[in-house]
Amino acid sequence: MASLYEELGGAAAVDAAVDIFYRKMLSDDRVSSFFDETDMDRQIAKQKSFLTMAFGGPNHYTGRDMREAHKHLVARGLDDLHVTVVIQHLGDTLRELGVTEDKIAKVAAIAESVRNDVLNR
Amino acid sequence: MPPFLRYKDHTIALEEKESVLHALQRKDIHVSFSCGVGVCQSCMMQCTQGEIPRRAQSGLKENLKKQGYFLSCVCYPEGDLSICDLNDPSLHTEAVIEEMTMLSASILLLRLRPLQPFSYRAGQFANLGNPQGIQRSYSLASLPSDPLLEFHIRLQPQGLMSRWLREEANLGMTLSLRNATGECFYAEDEPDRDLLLVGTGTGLAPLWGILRDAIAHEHKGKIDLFHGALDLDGLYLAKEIQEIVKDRPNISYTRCLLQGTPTPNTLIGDLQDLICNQLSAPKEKRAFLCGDPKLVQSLRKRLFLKGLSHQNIHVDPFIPSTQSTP
Repeated sequence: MASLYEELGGAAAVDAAVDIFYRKMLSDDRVSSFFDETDMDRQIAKQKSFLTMAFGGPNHYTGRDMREAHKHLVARGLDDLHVTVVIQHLGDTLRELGVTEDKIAKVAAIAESVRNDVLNR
Repeated sequence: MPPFLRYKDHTIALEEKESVLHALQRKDIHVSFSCGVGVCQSCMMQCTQGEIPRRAQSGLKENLKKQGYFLSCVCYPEGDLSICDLNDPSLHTEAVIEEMTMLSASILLLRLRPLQPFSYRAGQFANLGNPQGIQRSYSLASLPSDPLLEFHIRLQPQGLMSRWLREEANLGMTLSLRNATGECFYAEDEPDRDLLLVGTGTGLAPLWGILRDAIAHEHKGKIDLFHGALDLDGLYLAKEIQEIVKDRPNISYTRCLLQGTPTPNTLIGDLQDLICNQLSAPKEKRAFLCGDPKLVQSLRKRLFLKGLSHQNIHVDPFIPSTQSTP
């Protein structure tokens, strides 16, 4: 039985999704300041890692990695609303790519599972 | 226990969050560097023992990574590291100055003859070192099929290399030359791709190479070249470009000045606005953005938001050296 990641299309799906997802981040004033980095290549690489993890794919993050990676953002005011907005955009991205609602729900659940690590709670 | 850095006779205890470059400078050890952010590769050194953090090898070719080459300005070791200067003759080659001509009041055309075969793709940049050991990266404006390597260099009033070029450099002198790198080069396997070439000032240099490379490969898709500058002195090479563009309807050439009087050949206004307002068919376009870092990064983002794929936007920001005359 194929994993969620494989069902979604694996690395190719991440590639297809990352541009759409990152555009949504940059265009949403509620979260854009957290994603706006001078080095777009580096930012895209981070988003690819995030999407890979959220799609149930291979990832090397530990809870501690997520906390460390987002600490400076939490210090700048990152909170529950922002995390919720990001997960919404993740769902909308998958909808645009024609992914079914049941799979979208699974992806959202994985993203939700790291909420407390991201917010260092 | 902090990690220890071993270099020649020195054993240096690294301070917290300190790069290798910073540690060496703190001990008054002279090593070359320029941009300070891991892009230009002027600070490249070699590790003989220890583990190199991945970030410190970012952008280096595979065969260099395997030899332990790394960039000292972005190297933050987690464990002990033994390092040395680069003196491998197979890495450096040398090139002789064959021509020095001013293209405008402040832009120098420099042509070099490499003493060993030097491979590159038109549009990449190479690192040049003068006899005093000053190293800077400059974009190649030539094609590999040209007999000489060509560079367009803006002579900065306070720049160390600029001063040397202005006051001491002469025909026949030798410069060190290091491997070409960079992501801005023509892709031969997509003759129908629409290309967007945007350069500010001497950012035109790599685009001049890419443009001629595309033409040499009989590129069929549209090529839109935009050249922006602060003043007319920066809009160099206009005649040569017009000549190459004139009988090729698929190529357009637009010059842009921020301020001044518009002429039939030169638009006045914000280069980014100009480009984004008349952008068509973004999804399949490939863009090369070269020159002023702020403009390049800003335009990259705007083009991305307009629909260009991040994989189709290539940037060559001309990050200024952090060294200059006191």
